[in-house]
Amino acid sequence: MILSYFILVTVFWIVGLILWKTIYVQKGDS
Amino acid sequence: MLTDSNVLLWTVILLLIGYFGLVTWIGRKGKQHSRSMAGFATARGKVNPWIVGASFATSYASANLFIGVPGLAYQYGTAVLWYTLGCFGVSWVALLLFTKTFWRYGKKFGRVSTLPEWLGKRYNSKALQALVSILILFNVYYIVGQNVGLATIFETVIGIPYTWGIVIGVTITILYIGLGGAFAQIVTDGIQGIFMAITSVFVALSFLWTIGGGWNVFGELTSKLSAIDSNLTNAVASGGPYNSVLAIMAVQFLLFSFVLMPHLLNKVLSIETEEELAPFTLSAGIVLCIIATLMVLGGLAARVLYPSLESADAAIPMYIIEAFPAVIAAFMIVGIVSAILSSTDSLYLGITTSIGNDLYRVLAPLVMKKERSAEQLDRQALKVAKGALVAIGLLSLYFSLERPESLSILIQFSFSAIISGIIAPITLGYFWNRGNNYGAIAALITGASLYVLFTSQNLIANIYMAMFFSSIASYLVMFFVSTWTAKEEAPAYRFKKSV
Repeated sequence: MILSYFILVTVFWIVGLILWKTIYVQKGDS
Repeated sequence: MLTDSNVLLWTVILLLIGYFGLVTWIGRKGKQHSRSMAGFATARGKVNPWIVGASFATSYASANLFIGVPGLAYQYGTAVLWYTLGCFGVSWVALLLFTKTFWRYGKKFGRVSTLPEWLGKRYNSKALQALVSILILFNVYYIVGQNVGLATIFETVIGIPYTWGIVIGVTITILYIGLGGAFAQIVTDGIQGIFMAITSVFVALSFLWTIGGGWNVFGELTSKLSAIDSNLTNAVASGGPYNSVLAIMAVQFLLFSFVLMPHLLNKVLSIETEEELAPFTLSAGIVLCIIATLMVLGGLAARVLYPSLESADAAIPMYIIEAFPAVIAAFMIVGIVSAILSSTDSLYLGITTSIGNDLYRVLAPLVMKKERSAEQLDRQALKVAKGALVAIGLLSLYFSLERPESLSILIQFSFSAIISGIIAPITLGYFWNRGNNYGAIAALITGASLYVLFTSQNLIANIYMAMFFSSIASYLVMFFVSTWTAKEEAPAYRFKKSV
């Protein structure tokens, strides 16, 4: 259960980063 | 008191004195930014967005995440991890989805300092603004929960009697908020974030020597928990608040909505330009991940190492004192104290600015005979906010004197009541053009009243489920009332979305 917990934390990281890049990083930014 | 170590005791006392000295100094520095209501409430553009993001995360994590939730993990096992997973993942996703639109609306409306004001302008309704600010008074119970957490730490670690712990905590918080407003609060939160992150990482690392098992440390922890009680390692617990899939889903719904809490959304209003939203949201995610997901594991480890504690809330203080050398333990205890203070100060600021900005500023022109200029009104609203700080502090002190049965449940009760009222007006305010002020007011009253009814009459015992059903009712009421009033009266009632 604890390992699955960390896997889910990582999944949320990936989802969050994709959302963050899509919504907040303007085109042309690095 | 859990320890007789003089080194621990004196290091904690010295660190606390140094820490309180630092925050008071920052408070004095912030005084120049808190001469207007907007400066006091948001310190807009005065603080680096990376620090504002960290401040969001530290305000989010409170006595609940650092003491209450590990205590629940101590009692109910790994099922509680659903809660902390949501605290990071679900809440961060919600923050990413809400922030940009909320900020743009705030910019469009002009000078918006608080969430009630945002709602008031969104629906063009002063009545809604005043009602939301009254609902926010539920946060007094949230502050009481923090006071109790602080006093519990003081009592168990330093040996200060419970009542004095409450008095000291309330006095210090009022002092530096009164001096510096949002500037002091956001900057000190940034510093507290570093303390809290280090404390959380240390707790997770310490399993290598307290639990053992090398790389398989979490496997070892799981098997030791299972040996005590197989229910402790289940994904769904057999008792407590996480005892069904529906309850766990309702928890995620609560945590998705939690970012709408006024003391957290105020941080978005502190951001000056749209470009700064990117570092703000990323910083909030990074700090939230560290401080939300790790501390809870300490509760699980404490269950393995000290299975017969009298109070589950003592799990984290006990674990830290036993697992670390006295000096490091002292730093970590101060880290937890700062976690509690960082939420408390945001909550005070949320309530008091709301009283000054949304109650006084709205109601005063209606009852005063003499006409006041906008500048005069602003100055008076600020005075009222600062006066309310002391009043709310004393009120929370009074409520804290009698120790509540459960710290975590008290805290969660207060924010669930607020969320039940505001979730429909805020979210529909974003996505639905036809939502109007009548619908929003009806939804606010329905959500909050149903929640209080469900929980006070024990109609729905699980607070997460109570919040979930109250919110659904609130959405339905807003939908029907908005649709009905728009049809019956005139299209003029409709708010034209212009962002």
